[in-house]
Order: sequence, then structure tokens, then C-alpha cells
Amino acid sequence: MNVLRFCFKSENCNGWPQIRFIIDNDVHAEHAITQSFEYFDLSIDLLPGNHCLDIERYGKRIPDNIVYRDGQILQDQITTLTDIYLDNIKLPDMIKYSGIFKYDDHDVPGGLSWGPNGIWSLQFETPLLNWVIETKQKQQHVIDLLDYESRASLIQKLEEFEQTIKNASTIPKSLSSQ
Amino acid sequence: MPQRFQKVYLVNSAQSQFTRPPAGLAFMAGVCEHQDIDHKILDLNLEFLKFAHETTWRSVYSHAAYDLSCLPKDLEDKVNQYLDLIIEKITAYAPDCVALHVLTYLNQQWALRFLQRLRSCCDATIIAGGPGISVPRYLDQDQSTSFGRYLAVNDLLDFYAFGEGDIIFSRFLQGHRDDAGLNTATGPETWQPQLEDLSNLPPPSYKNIAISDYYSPNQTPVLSITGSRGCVRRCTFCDVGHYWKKYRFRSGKDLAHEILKHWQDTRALNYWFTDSLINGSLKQFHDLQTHLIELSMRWPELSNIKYSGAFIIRPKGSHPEKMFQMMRDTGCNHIHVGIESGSESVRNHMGKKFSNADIDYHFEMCEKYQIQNWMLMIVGYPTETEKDFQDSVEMLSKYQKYIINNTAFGLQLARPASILPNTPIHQMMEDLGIEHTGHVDQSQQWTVATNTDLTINERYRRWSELTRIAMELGYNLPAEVEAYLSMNKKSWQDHLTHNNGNTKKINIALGSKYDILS
Repeated sequence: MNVLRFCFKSENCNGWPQIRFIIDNDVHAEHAITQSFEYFDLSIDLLPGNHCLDIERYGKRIPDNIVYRDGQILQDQITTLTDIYLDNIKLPDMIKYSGIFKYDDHDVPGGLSWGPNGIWSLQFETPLLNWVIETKQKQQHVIDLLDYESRASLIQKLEEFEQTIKNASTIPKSLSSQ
Repeated sequence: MPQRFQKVYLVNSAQSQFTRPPAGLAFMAGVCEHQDIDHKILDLNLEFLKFAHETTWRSVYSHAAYDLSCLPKDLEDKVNQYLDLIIEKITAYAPDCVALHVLTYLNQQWALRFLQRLRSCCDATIIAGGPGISVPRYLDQDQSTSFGRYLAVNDLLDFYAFGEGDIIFSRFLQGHRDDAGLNTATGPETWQPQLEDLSNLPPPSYKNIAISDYYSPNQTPVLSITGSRGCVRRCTFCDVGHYWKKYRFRSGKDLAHEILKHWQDTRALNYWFTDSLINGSLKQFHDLQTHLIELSMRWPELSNIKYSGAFIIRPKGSHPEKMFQMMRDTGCNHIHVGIESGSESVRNHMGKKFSNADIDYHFEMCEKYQIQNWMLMIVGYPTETEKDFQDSVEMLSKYQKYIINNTAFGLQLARPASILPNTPIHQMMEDLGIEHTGHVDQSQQWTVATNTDLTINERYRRWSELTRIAMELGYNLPAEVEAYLSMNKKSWQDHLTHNNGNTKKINIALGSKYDILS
């Protein structure tokens, strides 16, 4: 099991934003934000494979939760996803930016500030740790490190080497005297 | 007394990493500069990379340490063309001295090839130094002769240096020929006595080294700097304690001012400490950091300095949180840590002197202060049981989460455990029942009577398995890992043929399905 920590920065406007966490269409948790900076820990225990995490920002009403003056927004009930941690380790920013915020007819890739009601969706895989590392390494190009593309074939070569050694261990002793 | 030299060509042997200029070249350049001697600089390694490009460089690299003498024809031609060009370049300068630096035994084959070509077409006096000169010739049955003596006896050089090269090279250039540590083809080999004080040596110079040609990972030049010689530990697998009996270090102030000098010369802001341990002396480590902070107050750009080096884990009491904070605040953002094994029992035998709880604490602190760790591992150590090996496997899983933010940046696992001459484990061979098999690759090919499950086959299998698991977990590995696999396969095959007869017989026994030996 892993724990995902979602950190939010929020603004109050006649109430705080409300959010719910949905994984593969199942609601896992609801959370009413109560202060400007806070986090929510979500335990993840899923079978290996592809999954979708939705964080729904809901309950905002207009005009109650947004205040205008002279056509300008004076105060707004809003929340921003600032960071995600996996088992207390901060995830690279590329993970949070790979989500899409959808509201009304709009899709905002990488949208992390959620003003209107809507759903932020993140496609991911489990085991989570492997997925995060793989996502990160696909983007990584460091001259003196083995590149991501070469890994699979090298892993296969290593497996073959191990198998060959195992088979060689069965060579009859009599061979050496032939 | 012979006259001092007027024109010196400084050369570094290939092949090794190409992410920063070799410290040996900078050291020799510093000596020449100090004496106002005209000199040129050539890094055989970098020039070969530029000449052959990376793919060929890597192909040759997989042969470089082991069998450079039997390269495939295309690579052989490439190496020969390259060496011809290099020799032409050197002779065009008409030096009266060529000084060759050989860092480790892994660079001996290139040194040999280079000298064989150079000697016949250049009248210059040739001197060589570096640790790769003082150790025996790799894969030579005669392990009592140094590589330097081998080269001298074969008339490939005139002089070779053992010990404190700073003293020998400096005086050699001035014409001195009778110093301790300056050796020739005849007479007993001598060593330059160890320096007690490292603070008054000519500083290395990078002024005439094309530092921007090196392929540093973050595109900014990395320079080497040396803060100490010797080591505070006597890890059983390491020969540093044999060559440098006493641990000596420069003051933190001295080091910080050398960094200032290099920055003023080159504007380089990244430094790699060549020391066995960057934190061997905790006092010096702290003083260095204090002086870096002082210097950055006067030269604000120095607050952007990043430095790294090999690091030893110690218990929490010796490494308080404040130390990690100071490391981050002064730019120590990357360290190489010799963890070696996930088994406390194996590490205790090695003399590492830290527990699994100490490693946990170390990673917690490094995670908190954003310090990246390059983990150095060993498999197949003579006392390693299957359970110990599994402890290493489990350790990699345990710290996998630290890959996410580069706290666990990568892992180095080049070959199964070696028994090198002049190491404490070499002295323990009788007690542990370790015997060489008679094969030429003595450091690799040994059996251990007190741990009979640890056969040669088993050691190569464990090496392969741990490397594979590390890759599957997502640890970064060096780009050379494919070359390591080639080297290990070759070494293992040699062991197999040595012990079982010829390749054909083995392939028949294994069946064509496993015909990797042809």
C-alpha cells in the first residue's frame, strides 16, 4: 500500500472549497478544506495495472462563493494543488502537470488552480512507485547514464546470462577430464 | 646534472569517464606552469571520444581493460588510425619530454599501445606515473612486477614514478635523476616518502585544458580537486591503505582558496573531490564549508558552487543533522557512497563500520537536504551467503522510493568482488581458504573454502541478478553497464573454458540453445 499526500493552497470566500477523491469511478474520500494550506493523505491499494484518479472540486456556487467589484474578482473560492508526495517523498513536478483539469467544456492540461467546479484527472499505473520512476526516467537524458530505451534489451541480456550460468553449473565434472 | 626540460607533452591514458578533465593532467600542468615550462596537454581518452564518437568509444571501452590486444578488426583499425594521428601531433611539437599519467590498472592497455607507437618515432625522454604504474600489470601471471618496471624493461619508457608524484615530477623537470621514487629498468624500485604536509604543493592548473570539451552531465565543466591522500578506513577490498599508509589532509581554508583560484582561472563552479573520502576528516570538511561561505560573501557567484565526492556513512552521533544542512548550504549536492552490501555481517567483515540503521538515517537526511547519492555496491564478497545477497536485494527495494527525487541517484556495480593484491582481504586469503584457480584473471577467479556455495559461477550470477534487479527497480546505472556485461561474460567464459576444456565441448554439454560461447 502507498500513501499519496496532496497539498493544497486554498482561498476562503463564504466557505472553503470541497473536494472528493475518485479512483476508477469509486469515491475513495471526501474532504472539506478548512485552511489556506493543508494536505490530504489518500491510501492507495490497487491491483497492478492502469488506473484513473479524479479529484473533483465541487460545491462552489455563484454568486455566493465569488465576489466581484467593478467587474473585477475581489474574492474567490479557489484551491490549487501545489505538491504531491508518495510515501513522504515529493514527486517530480512533471507528475502533477500531467493531469488535466476539466470544467464545463474546457480541458486545461496541467491546470492545477481549480476555480470553477470541475474534475482534475490523472492517468497512472500501479505499482505506483515503478510508474513514477519510469515516467521520470523517460524524460531523462544524462550523457553518462544508461538511457531508458536501452534498459529492456539489457535486462533481457542479463536474464540470458543468468540462465546460461545456471545451465553451465550442470556441466558434468567428467568434461574437464576429457 | 642533466638540463631541465624545455618542452613537455603531458598525456593522460585512456579509457575512463569523460565527464571531467583528468586530475593527473591538471596536476602535471600545474607543475609545468609553476616552473614556467612550455607544455602541451593531451587526454587520450577525450581525444579518442572525439575521434571515434561515442558508439565506437563504448565498443572499445568494453575491451579496454581486458583485451585491447585482440580487438575486432574494425575497432583495431580505428584505434591504430587514432594513435597514428596522436603520435603525429606529439612529434610535430618536438617535445624533449613526454609525461604519461596512468590512473588505474584499467588504463594500462591503452598506455601500452600508446607507448609502443610513440617510442619508435619520438626521441623525447618518457616518464610515467600514477597508481596504474605502481600496480602489477593487469592479467599478468607475474604479479610481482610493477607495470612501470614492465614498460621500462621493454624499453617503452625511461623513468617511472612511485609515490608522491608532486615531488618527483617537479624535481625531474629540473633535471634531478636520483630522487627516491624515480625508477628505471634496473635497480631496486624505490618510493618517494610520503609528504606530511600537503599544503605547499603547486596547485593544479586547468588554464590550458579545454574543460568545455568534457561531457559533464549538466553541461557545465567539472574540475577535480584533492583535499587528502590516504584514507581513514581500511576496507578489506581496497588497496589505498597499502599505497598511502598515512591519512593526510589539507586545511579547509587551503582547499577553499584552490577552488577560488580555479574559479578565477576558468569560471568553473562544479568540483569533484578525488579524495578517498570527502568527509574523511570531519574537521576539514566543516572548515571547507565554513571557508566557502566566507568566500561567497566576498565573491557572491561562489555561492553557486556545487561540489561532490566519495563519502563514508557514519553513525548519527558523528553526522548530526547540522552537517547535512551545511552540505546543502555550501553546494554539496551529490556524493558517492560505498554502501557495498545490504548485509551488516558482510559490511562488518569489510570494515565499513556502519549499521543498516545508519544507512536509513543517512538517506533520511539526504532526502531532507536534497543530496543525491550514487551507491557503490559489491556482490560476491568472500563471506557473502545467499542470505547476505538477499539482504542487498531487499535493500535496493527498500530505498527504491528515494529514486523519485534522486536521493538515490544511481548505482555502481561493475564486476563481482575482486581480490586485489595489497588489500587486507588478500592478506586474509589463507584464513578464509581463498585460492586462485590458476586462471590469468586472478582478481576474479578464486574459490573460497569457508563459503563453498560462493562458487565463481554463483558470483557472476549474483552480479547479473543484482544489476538486473537494480535496473528493474529503476535505479540509474552508468552508461558503461553494457561494457561491464561484456567484460563479465568474457571473464566468466574464460573461467569456464579454463576449468572444463575447450569451448566446443562446453557448448555440446550446454546444448546449442545456450551457445553463447561460440
